[in-house]
Amino acid sequence: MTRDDHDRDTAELVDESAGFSFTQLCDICQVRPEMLARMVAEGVLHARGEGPSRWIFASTTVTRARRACRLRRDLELDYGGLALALDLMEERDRLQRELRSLRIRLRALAAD
Amino acid sequence: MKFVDYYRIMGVEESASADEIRRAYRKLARKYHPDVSKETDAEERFKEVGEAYEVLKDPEKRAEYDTLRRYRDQAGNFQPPPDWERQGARGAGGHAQWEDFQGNGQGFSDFFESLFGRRSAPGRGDFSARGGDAHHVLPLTLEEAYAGGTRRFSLERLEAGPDGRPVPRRSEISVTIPRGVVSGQHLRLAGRGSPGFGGGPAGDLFLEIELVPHPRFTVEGRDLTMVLPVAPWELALGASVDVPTLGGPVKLAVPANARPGQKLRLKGRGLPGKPAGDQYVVLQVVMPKVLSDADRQLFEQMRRQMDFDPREQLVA
Repeated sequence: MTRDDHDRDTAELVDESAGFSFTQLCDICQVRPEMLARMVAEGVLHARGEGPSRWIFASTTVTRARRACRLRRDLELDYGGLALALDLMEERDRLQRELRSLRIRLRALAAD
Repeated sequence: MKFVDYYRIMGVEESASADEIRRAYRKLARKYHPDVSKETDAEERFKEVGEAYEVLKDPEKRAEYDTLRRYRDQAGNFQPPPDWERQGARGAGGHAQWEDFQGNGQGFSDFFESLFGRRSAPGRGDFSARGGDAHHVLPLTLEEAYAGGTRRFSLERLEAGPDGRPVPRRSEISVTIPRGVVSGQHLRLAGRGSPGFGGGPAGDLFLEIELVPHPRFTVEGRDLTMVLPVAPWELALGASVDVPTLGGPVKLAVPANARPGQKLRLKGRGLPGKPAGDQYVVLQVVMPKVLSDADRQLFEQMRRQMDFDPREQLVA
């Protein structure tokens, strides 16, 4: 099918050292630059480099930024609360991964 | 059309004050927010709550809604009065509070849209611009991440319609995934994001990799860990045993006098990459069942011969 040929894409792995630019992050989160800039200024998001035009964001920051925008929009959190909520949610995610991993091991230990 | 009872959704009386409504919204939004909630229907409930709040928080919209509540019948059906259109000719609201957001992508019900109009996308000027970058989470099994290759999936994204305005369209995408991707990495598909404006180029589509939990292996970066059952004599005497890896079974040398719970490393047998990850194997003793007299004699002999008390430390 020609449709398939048309739609086949070769993906390029985003180089972690290159990361994402500020403009890309704004596009991906679908928010105005002012809000993301504020999040960087308030320490909600971490950027490498000085000034928006040179800011570089790590892949993991994209996930955090998307979540931050959703929480700000839907729960009307202020920036301090936002940073706290995100940190706690990331810790929760990490613990859930660890719990899942330990459960798999426990299951293997309990099985005869 | 089904009448949607926003007061019931919010769990407030019709006479509730603006403060009460805001409190109810905050509480429900925290409860059902998809990023926070573990409830199965969280996303749906959250949308309902968001829509209800959109109407009840705005005194003008709320007054219109209260007027219309009178037109619902006993069965919960609803027909707006014939002259409603002109009264409610407000179109899409300019929600000053959230003007930071370029549309939130959450669709409201037909009921809402028949009352308050469709919320239009923010206007773009008459200029040419590159389309926005889009983002999508791509779940992969560990096997898929290990082997790489072509993966098909479908997603809804904006495409340029006949009149040049972006319209959402569901499309199939085949993507070639490089070997050894891990959770949190992104793939860039050039030109597959939102369409450009006024002849501008399309943005890129970013796919965020998410490895789904595997029944046997746990993943940390590129390293894998699994539990390997071994017989007591394999642990005591050492053995060469077959171990499953993502690339097929390999031989593992268990050293003599290995401990249960000991972690052995199969170098480079994790997810491929530069450098490739390792596979860790946690040894787990499995006791054989004593089934015959001969079996029993073997254990009896061990008991007599071996000076071993596993509770030495406990009962000193």
